[in-house]
Amino acid sequence: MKRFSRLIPALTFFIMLIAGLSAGILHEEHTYSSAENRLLQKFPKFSVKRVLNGKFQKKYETYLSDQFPQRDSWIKFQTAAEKAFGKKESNNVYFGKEGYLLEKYTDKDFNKKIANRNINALEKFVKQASKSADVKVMMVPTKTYTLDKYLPAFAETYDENIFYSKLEKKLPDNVLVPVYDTLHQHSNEYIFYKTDHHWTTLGAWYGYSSYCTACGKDIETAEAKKKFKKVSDNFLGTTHSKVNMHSQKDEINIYEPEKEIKVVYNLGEKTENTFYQTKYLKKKDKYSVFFGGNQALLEISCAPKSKKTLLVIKDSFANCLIPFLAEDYGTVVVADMRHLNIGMSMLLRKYQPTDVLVLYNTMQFMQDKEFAVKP
Amino acid sequence: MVFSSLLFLFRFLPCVLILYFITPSCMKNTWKNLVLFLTSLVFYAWGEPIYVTLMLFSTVVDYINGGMAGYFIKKENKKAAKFFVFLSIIINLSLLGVFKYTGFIIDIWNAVTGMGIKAKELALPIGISFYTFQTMSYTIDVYRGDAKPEKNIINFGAYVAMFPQLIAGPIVRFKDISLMLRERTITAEKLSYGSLRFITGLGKKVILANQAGELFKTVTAYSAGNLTTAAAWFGILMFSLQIYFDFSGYSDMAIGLMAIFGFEIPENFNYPYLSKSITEFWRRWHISLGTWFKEYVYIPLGGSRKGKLRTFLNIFAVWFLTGLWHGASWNFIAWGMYFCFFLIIEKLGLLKLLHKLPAFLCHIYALIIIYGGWLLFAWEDITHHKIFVKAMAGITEAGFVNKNIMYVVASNAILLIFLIIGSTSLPAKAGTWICSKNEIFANLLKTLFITAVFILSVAYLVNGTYNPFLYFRF
Repeated sequence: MKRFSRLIPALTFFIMLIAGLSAGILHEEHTYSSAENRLLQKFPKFSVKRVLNGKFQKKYETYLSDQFPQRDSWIKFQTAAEKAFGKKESNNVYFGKEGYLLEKYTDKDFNKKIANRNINALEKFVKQASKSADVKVMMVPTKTYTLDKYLPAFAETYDENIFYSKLEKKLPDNVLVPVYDTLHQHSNEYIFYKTDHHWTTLGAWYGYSSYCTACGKDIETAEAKKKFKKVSDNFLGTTHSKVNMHSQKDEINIYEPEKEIKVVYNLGEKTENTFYQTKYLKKKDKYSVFFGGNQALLEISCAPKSKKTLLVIKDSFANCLIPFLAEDYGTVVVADMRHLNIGMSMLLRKYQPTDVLVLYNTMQFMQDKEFAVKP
Repeated sequence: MVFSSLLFLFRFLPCVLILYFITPSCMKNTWKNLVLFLTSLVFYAWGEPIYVTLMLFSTVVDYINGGMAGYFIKKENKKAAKFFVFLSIIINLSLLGVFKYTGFIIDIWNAVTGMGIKAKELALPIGISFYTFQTMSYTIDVYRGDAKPEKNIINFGAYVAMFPQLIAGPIVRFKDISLMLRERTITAEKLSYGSLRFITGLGKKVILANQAGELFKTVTAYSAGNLTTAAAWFGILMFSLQIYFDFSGYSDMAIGLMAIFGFEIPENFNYPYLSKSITEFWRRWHISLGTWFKEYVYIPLGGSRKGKLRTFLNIFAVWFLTGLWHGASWNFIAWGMYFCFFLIIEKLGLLKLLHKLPAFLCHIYALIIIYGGWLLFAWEDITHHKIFVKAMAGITEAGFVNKNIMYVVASNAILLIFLIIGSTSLPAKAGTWICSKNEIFANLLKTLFITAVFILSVAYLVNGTYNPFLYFRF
């Protein structure tokens, strides 16, 4: 026994090596990783030329790691080990308190030129639109900046106030909706998904109520809409994809309108009488339950028809807020400039809105390359 | 190819082990050596297939030079033997010169003459600094009568190309393993010792060195306005730990693999950060390189036997070369000269003074000097040195400490403890103590350690390739 025991360490090591080799050879090739949302390297093309110039070897090493048996479990295990090591972040995501995964932003995450160009374009657009409509701008702060109390000790993120005060100086009074203050006051509540960068329907409702207040509307209408229906409790969003670790799953709630509505997608591509595409609740990308993700143009009308038309220029943060707005206007036109070939002035001319809302997330607005470019 | 890769662990190494152990050890291990030689060539050719010709060239040239030197020594024709030694030295140094130092020499030439010669950048063939030194040592050892010439080119090829110590040492002199090439035993103890040693090295590299390296990179990337005094000191500390765990980890893996194949090769590190003087540090750091320079440069130049001035000149020569060997850049030469300075000061009497001081003061002295050395070593480009030296001296607009570095230190506190304790002899001592109680228990404990560290290392290697493509659908 004593003599045999001397061999056990080596034997264990060799068995692990050979087990890895056999598992790798027997492993069935996957073409796509849903966790990483990309195609995986398949067995590379073999030729003497490709071996001599080293291309084959390089691809083969990528192939080995991409096709490593149980790749996702290994990655989850490593992240767990890092966490046990006391690490507070992975892949630029902070492990926040109470299960919040918080993206880390620095001023390297956006191009200052683009950010300034967008601010100037917004200033110009607000000036133009204000001639005929009541214009509001809502810049939704990021989850990390709003929920800074969930950040690990000493952790920092980009100070969005720098951007915000710049914007404040450029825009006329009462155009900016003070949504950060409202959200920050309610940071104890479930206003952002724990595993996704978007705000929840409740967060969006706070956005909506600040908008109502800013427009001088009756707050009671907003209060009446604070009732949601849970449609999913196993949502893992984009922040989770960045770290791929074991996490608490998120709930998705929706608001169901009282009035009858009609949604026309992309100038007649299809027409529906709901905001929600429930088929996405069965897929990974569950946030797309709201209008099936970002659409270039939505025209929402509501009976009985009022004369007011609202034009929303937006990014994905608006998707879960629009259901609250729909019933307050005769028509709500929702435009996503990144998917649309015409500019904002054209939209003003075409729809002659009585109200305009520009709704973006701060970081996404600063990074948006499409905002300022179309006439 | 590197050891710390999935390719090596799960394709190359298991295949080599299977081949090696099914090959009979008859004919004085020639067949086994052939397996080692051929697999080493595959290992070498993986990254840069063309450069394998360079290694074969070096092998054949020194096989002939060593053989000829041996032949003439036997005939007592020292002059002719010497000729082949010089031939070997010239060819090997030329190889090194062309592939490692061309760019550097042209830069100097351009700086002196004001010309603008542009050289085609050659990729550095991996391991060239190691195998040229090994083959040179062979011919010299034969000339000196320290080793017999190796008639069997397979054995000699296996010695030169030996993949475990090919890319990062230790530098094994021919006389250290010439007998083992023919006769070696493989025992359960050696296999287990080798496995344990390899896994220790793998963990040191993949888990500890890589993480310390990440932190060093983080601090290096700080803008001057963010580099606090604390951050600068922390950054160099991380570099010191990274380079130790990286390099000694590689040596552990090499020694472990060699033990699995039945070889015993000399140690390369002996807890260098426990040194009490710089003289001691260089007896504990990269031992095989120090030995090489001592035996093939310092002593042939006369060592310390030709008077004080000559001794200092010899020390200077050795440290100039040691610096240059580490890389073709001024900072490495400066690094060598820096240590040369302290070694001479110590020889002039500081060492005697140190012996009288309490041990902890000696440790502090040695660590500060070593620290300064790594500061020189860390970057080739002088801009970083300037910023870091200023910040470390407290001349920085960022102040002594800020939230940024506090976050980095707080979230890496456990790693830091592992790194610092890991660089002392404590873990080894604790291990020996626990394992001295009961042999079966000790072997089970070793098995547990191997399994745990191996699995963790693999997880780190797999995660290193985690590459989510995040189209956010903003």
